[in-house]
Amino acid sequence: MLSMFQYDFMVRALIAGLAAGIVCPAVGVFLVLRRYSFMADTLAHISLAGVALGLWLGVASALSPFLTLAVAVCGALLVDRLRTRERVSADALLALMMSGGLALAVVFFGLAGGAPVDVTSYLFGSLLTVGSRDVWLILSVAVCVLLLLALLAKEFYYVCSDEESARVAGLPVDRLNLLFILMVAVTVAVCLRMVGTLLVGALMVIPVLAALLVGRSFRQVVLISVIIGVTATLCGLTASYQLGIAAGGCIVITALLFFGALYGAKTLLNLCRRSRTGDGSGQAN
Amino acid sequence: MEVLRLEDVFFSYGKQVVLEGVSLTVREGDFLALIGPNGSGKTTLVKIVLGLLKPMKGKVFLFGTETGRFSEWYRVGYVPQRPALDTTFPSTVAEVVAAGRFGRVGLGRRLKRGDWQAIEEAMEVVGLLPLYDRPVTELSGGQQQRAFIARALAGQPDLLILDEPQVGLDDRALHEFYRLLRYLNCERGITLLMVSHDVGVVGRWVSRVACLNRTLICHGTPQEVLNPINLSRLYGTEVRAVAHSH
Repeated sequence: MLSMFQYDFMVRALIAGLAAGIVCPAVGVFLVLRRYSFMADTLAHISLAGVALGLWLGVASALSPFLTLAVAVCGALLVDRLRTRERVSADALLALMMSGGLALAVVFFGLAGGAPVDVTSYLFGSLLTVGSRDVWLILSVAVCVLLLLALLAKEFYYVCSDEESARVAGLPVDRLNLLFILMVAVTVAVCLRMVGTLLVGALMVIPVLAALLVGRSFRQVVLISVIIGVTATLCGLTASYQLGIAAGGCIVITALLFFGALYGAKTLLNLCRRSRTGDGSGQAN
Repeated sequence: MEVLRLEDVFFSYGKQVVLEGVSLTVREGDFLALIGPNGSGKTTLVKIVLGLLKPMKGKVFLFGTETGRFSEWYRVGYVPQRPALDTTFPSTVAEVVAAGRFGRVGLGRRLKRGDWQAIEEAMEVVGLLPLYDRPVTELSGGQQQRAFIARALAGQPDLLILDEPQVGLDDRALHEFYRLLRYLNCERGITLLMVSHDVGVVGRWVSRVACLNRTLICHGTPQEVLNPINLSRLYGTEVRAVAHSH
């Protein structure tokens, strides 16, 4: 297994994977708890339109990730504006923006015509497409996002748990919401190449859902989500190398295995408790 | 000293007028119950006081400053209606209560030892200190309500606003709850404004009652206000205040 480290692309993929495995679930905790689980998928589809736009315009490969980032940020600003000012319901808004992003991507890919690019690598993720520039970009974004999360963790927690009370307490809720959606957008945009458009949302959501099964506090849920995210990413990348299949699928399947194992263990534990107490109730009042 | 003053406040949702010319003053040490039928504008009034909605006409002053220019929001504690709270959220009692201190601490700053002392004191006042690390989802309805009161107290407010806090509490929990509010009012000197639909019980515990049904129908001590004539004006039908025995 260690032989994979002799390849530069694999070392790059593992470094990028480690960063993505930490930052995606850390951001995802707030998304899931705010019931915005599809936000990451929506921003991923908008980012894909950015990739396709770059191909159509013939933007140099060095600048392409920055164009993707810019499109993701514009998409995030639009989502935030529609969410706060036009009072569109959350699910309808995400469906609207997701289909719009995908439609634009299809049109731009079509207009790009015979561009020498493997579209499936953007949809499902690929280890080979992660260049050294991508690694630096992922690392820079991950460090910035994690620093902001650490600095404003208590504010994001309050907004996430009870937005109205956070507003009453004098927190700048609208600005915090905008900052958060921008953080999600840049995270999604830089993780796109490795995990893939269709699966980057899953890396943000599934580790959190697994952590929610066992975490008893907010702090625990964040910690367990990140541990599962990192483990799933590293195991998934290794499986991807060994089996020669798309990285995104392997990472998400590993995260799903964690979810399944924890769900099964919790169900079994509850059954044992019920049979021991005989009252069928696991709650203390 | 005036804690809260509303001057001729109007508010409407589209063409539907919800509040019309409401003027009300709450003084330091008051325990005021705001009562009225469903849709009478009680919650809207509270949201205006909290700065969540802007009045279309009229002015609202908190501690002598108009709410638009008011910045000391940590002086106002807020306990929202229980159904508005997501109790499936993964939080311990300590995490929920600590959030009430965030407004006082400031953006991006960490909680210090003094803040944690205030948080633990708030938990002690409501009797939840032994459940410090317990997830809120494992608490009873009454304990959850007390956790959210502790959250409001953690900021050491001068004014505590509670929006229909009695919903979902059984008689015993309700009695304990009112005893706690009276303690906060009499022993801690916190001014209380409580929205309530429970006409029969509030009169025994509060110092003043304001009856709202789009306009302020009447306002005074429970003895002055809670009589059949006023209640009929408020609810549009014959109503008697029946005191519950606990």
